[in-house]
Amino acid sequence: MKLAVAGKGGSGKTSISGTMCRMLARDGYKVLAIDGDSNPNLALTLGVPAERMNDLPVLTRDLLERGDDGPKLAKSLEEICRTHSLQAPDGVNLLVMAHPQHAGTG
Amino acid sequence: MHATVRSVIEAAANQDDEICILDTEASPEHLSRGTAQYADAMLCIVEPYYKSLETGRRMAVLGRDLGLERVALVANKVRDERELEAVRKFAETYDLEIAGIIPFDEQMPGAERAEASPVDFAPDTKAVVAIGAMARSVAEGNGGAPVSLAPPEAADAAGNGGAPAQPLSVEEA
Repeated sequence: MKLAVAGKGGSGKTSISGTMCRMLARDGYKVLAIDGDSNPNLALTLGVPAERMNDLPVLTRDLLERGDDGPKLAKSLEEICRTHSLQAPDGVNLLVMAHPQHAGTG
Repeated sequence: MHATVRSVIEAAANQDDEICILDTEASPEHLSRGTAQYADAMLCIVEPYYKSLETGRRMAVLGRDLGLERVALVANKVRDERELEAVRKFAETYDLEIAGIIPFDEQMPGAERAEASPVDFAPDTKAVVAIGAMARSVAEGNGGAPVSLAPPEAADAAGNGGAPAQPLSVEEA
């Protein structure tokens, strides 16, 4: 099941996303969390310590290559998770998207 | 960045025991760029006041345009029956599903201030319990959590909490 969580800023979208991830992981699901927000703080809500916020691995555009019908991942998602994901409590895997305003990424 | 999100969601495995949750950007604009197009479902988190509901409705329309199987509202920070009723009315007017009702809970901003996960900060607090119940119900592909402010125990006592959640009708208490 792939789930997108949307909402206005301040609606509680990230708190709900993060809490859902942790609760489902406790239920035995294998959970992949993706932070697509340009102000990424899903990690905190997942319970990753604040002092790790500054060196979160991010997914950059160079992980994409040109495919027959548009961009596709240059590596398998499994490989990308191995090198770019952060392990959050209860075994939740977190991928953080890079945003153009972060210098040097995008 | 939108292409990367799209590709990752597309590639995310889809076994029964696997869940991928994408926390999207706050502006609805990304949705029109198809960031969520490979998702099975979209939850639009709204607060019980008009501007928030209206944003949720616009997001839901975009989600439907993307062809997502399921698009639903989740009412968050609901303080009382009156607010719940406003959300129900809105959903009914626009023919939107409500996948969950999360009660207002001071522990949630508390967790944020403590820079902690709500699950670690206040594991048994009512909002965390409600989010957990909704998550389970959505993950299992059920129609929705019972639309009530009552905690799950109370719903059980009323004899309607144990069964898998039924497809929601907004008239339902």
